[in-house]
Amino acid sequence: MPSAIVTQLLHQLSGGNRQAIDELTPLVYSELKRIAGGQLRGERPGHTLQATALVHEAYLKLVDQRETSWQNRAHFFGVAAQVMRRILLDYAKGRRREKRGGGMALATLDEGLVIGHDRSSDLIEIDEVLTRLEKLDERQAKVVELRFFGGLSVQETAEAMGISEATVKREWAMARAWLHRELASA
Amino acid sequence: MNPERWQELKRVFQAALEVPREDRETYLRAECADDAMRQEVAALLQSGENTDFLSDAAVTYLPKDDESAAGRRIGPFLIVRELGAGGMGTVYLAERESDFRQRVAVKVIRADVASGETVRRFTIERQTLAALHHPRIVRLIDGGATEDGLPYLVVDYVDGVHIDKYCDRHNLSVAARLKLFLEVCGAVHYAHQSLVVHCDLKPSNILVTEDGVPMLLDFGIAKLLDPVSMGLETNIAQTRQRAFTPSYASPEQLSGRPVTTAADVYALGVILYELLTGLSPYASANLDSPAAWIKSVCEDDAPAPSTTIPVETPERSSKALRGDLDAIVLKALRKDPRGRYGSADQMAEDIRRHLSGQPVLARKNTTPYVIRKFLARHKIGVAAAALVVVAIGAGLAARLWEARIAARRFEDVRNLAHTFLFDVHDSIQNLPGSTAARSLIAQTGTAYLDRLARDARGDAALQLELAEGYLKIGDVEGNQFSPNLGDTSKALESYRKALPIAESIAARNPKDMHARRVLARAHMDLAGALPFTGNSVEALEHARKSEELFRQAWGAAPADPEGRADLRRAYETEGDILGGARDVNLGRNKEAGDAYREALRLIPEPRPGVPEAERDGMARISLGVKLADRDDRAGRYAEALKQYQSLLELAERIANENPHNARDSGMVGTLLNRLAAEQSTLHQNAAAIENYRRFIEMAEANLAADPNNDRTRTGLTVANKNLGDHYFQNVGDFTQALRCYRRVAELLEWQVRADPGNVVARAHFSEIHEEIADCLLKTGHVAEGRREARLGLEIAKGLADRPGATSDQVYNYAHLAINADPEVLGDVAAVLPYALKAVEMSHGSDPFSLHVLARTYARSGNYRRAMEMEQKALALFPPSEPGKPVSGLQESIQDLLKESRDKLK
Repeated sequence: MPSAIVTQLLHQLSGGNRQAIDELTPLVYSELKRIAGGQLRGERPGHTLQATALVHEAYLKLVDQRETSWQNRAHFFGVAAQVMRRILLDYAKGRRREKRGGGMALATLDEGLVIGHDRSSDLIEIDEVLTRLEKLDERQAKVVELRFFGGLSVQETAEAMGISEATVKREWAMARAWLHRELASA
Repeated sequence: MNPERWQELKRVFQAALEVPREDRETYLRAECADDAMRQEVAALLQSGENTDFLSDAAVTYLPKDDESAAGRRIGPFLIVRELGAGGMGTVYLAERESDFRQRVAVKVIRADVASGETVRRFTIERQTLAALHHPRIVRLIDGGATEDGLPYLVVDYVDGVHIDKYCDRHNLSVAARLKLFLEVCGAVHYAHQSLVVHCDLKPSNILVTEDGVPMLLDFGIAKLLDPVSMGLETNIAQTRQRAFTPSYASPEQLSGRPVTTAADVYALGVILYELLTGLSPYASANLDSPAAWIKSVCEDDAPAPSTTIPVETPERSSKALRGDLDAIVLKALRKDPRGRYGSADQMAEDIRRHLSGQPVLARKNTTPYVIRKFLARHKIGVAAAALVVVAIGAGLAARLWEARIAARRFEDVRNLAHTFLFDVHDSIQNLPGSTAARSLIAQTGTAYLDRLARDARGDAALQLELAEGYLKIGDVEGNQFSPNLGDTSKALESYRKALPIAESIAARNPKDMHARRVLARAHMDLAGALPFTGNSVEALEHARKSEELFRQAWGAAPADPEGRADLRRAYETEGDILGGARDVNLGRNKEAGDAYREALRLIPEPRPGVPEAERDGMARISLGVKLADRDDRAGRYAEALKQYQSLLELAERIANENPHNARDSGMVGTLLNRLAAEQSTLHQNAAAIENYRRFIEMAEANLAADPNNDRTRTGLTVANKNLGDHYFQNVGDFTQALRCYRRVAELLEWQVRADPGNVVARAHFSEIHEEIADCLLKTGHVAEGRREARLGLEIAKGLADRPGATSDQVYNYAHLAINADPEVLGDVAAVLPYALKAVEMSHGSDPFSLHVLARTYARSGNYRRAMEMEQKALALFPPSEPGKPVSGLQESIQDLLKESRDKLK
């Protein structure tokens, strides 16, 4: 159980040791991948996959609760969100290879359809546009990464980033508007 | 975009969010350094209105890997992966095993929701798609059931993007968007011409491929102008969930009112609105609650598209939309379906006009130019396969043009055409599935005729056409000779409107045989319908009148075969009234027989070597059945059996020769029903069950395809009742009997609701509760049984207490009451007046009512009287031959006689 290591790495991270991220990431990665993969294979009940649950589950698995502070948690989520982004993109790209032309289409749907079409291509596009946003506004892009890829709430995002909830909301509003516009005109 | 500009953009944007919407424009003008910045912020603000974007977490973008499905075989296809899943089923991407280049989408019903309703909808989708062949509608390739028995259907896999995304991605100009939209209209119009309403048009159901080809999908809730969506089956509508997508649903869909092709036009309007403006027409609607939002859609007018553009771009400019396109979109979005375009094709035409710089109809009111154009297009409409203007409309339209009545009338006639009225000619009315479509006439046609009646004074020819129009509508509403909707009181209203008009014309023009025939028809139609509301005496008068008039008309043109057929029908009607149909008769069986035989004589004998005309053959069968029925009622069962057998053979032959005529196959069913009943009476049990089941199977399928067909429903009801009786009396299987009776109750309940004026149905409804009660009691469910029994009695008593109650209705109550559990009935003496009345009303010639009276006496302890009645009843039967079976009734009578004798000793 790598929780001891992870916990220790988190401590180091809080202490200012940025290197800890490099060691932390692969550990978080494998755990998140395992959990996410399980969910995608339908091992969890219900249609809608709960991103927050994934990240929290990973947290519970990897981090020794007693030893960590809220700061550690914030750091963890920050890393986890980043990792989630990578995992999900991998999945999405893997799917794209199967299709020709990267189209997203569906022949017949009926009422109550939860997933309208194969949105994995959307995910790839969002990721690409987000990368552009990172160059313009790192903080705003981070908010998106935490909220959208990590599935964190406004409060959790505020905690993880060390900013106010109001700021999170403002950044989120603009990011959404800008990303939407960029995607629509892409 | 440099960092400073970005920061500035951010600052203004976030500040603008804090400013109330209506003040934003002003704020922006004040705050922004330059126009470009202002446009950017405005664009961002508009983009930010889209609250759905990114509201789902990223992980939900990936579909679940249904590993168990990939690689599985469904029919000749191999599943590649799951594409999506929903409430009703799952859709997979699959390849044809033998040719992996053919990619298809396979939709399978989910096992856990494969209920009757779901399967039915699935079947409808499959049937609908199978019937549609259009380059812009997804093609049905295959269908079937998986190894687990789950239905599936296979369609072309469309690799495309939602139409709105496509337009945005490719930066399509207004003209280009319109052209794409035109193609969609073409597909929708084609569906409408096949009598299919999509009911769920929306951008996600219209995919556009890379090559710019739009495809229409998802006929999952399409309607073949279905009764549920028309609001007739209210009990089902309550338990059913809304299946359409609320944002694109028309006001009538949201308020559960009848849905027509106009609902699709509305949806197209919403789609066009969005393609042109990027916003929903109800973007500023009240979103507090679904109810508030629905109210908005139904009541608040959408803002004109050109007024909703906040930021002008080449693709979205208010200038381009102002005028024509505003008018076109808003016309499609009218709350009243009749105010919209009558068809997707008409909408498309207007768009084409706009594109070629011609005046657009949506902006015009009435001008002679428009009228001329209408009449010209009207001719094309008449030629089209299924959608034809009502014959009265066409005839009247021509006359109105000649008479130069006010332009306002043309609007009416045009509205008539626009709401897809169907011609009530024989060629269409006998096609399976057309019943629901015909009800449109009933609704729109009557209103139209009433309006026209005011203007028709003074023009005799016009008035006569008007009268005929009313008769035609009455036929659709509830005439027993043509496929109808079973709404007798409405039919009577229409017939009664026709009568005085026809009377006055015929009186003023005594030489006019056409007028005379129309008058005769009005009398006959009334005669046919009146018994169903209990007015048999009046009906008989009308029947006799019609015979007289038809005879006169035929006499004036003896070579006309129609004249003969008309007179035949009149006699048949008289026979029906006198005693053909059991429940609505006056109890005069013998005279009925005479009338039927008179009618039979009027059928021309087939010439040797020439097969008999279908119409004559059917007439022969119809009368034959009625005569055989009389034999059955009089106890001559073997005779009746023989006749039914030969009539069945004749009917099967005719049905084979005319496979598309629903009436012919209906007759086969009727005969199967009767044959089985006769076999049951003669205790040929296995044969009876087999024939009943054969018929029931046929009828259930027909009813599913055409749920509004009253005739099919009636046949199915009778068959189930008979089969139930058979199980109950002959076989003693009460569980099976109960099943049959419950189905009967279901069917009758539908009928009673749809046709409150039909006392026959109501009487049956009361009886069936008694039968169900019996079964429940026999299988030990005492409390439930008593409840059912009480319910049935109440209904029957209500009918018997009516001022115009017939002998049958009074009899029914007495019969039910005397058969009821004493616990349920209470005081037997209360039944006596009814039993006496029943006998009195049938002039003592009805053995059934005599028997019931006897039993009532017996139950009250008056065995002497009981004996008297039973002897009277027995006297009505033909002398029983030794060795030949007697009817159940005779047996019962003899039992009671014996019992009474014993008691009196």
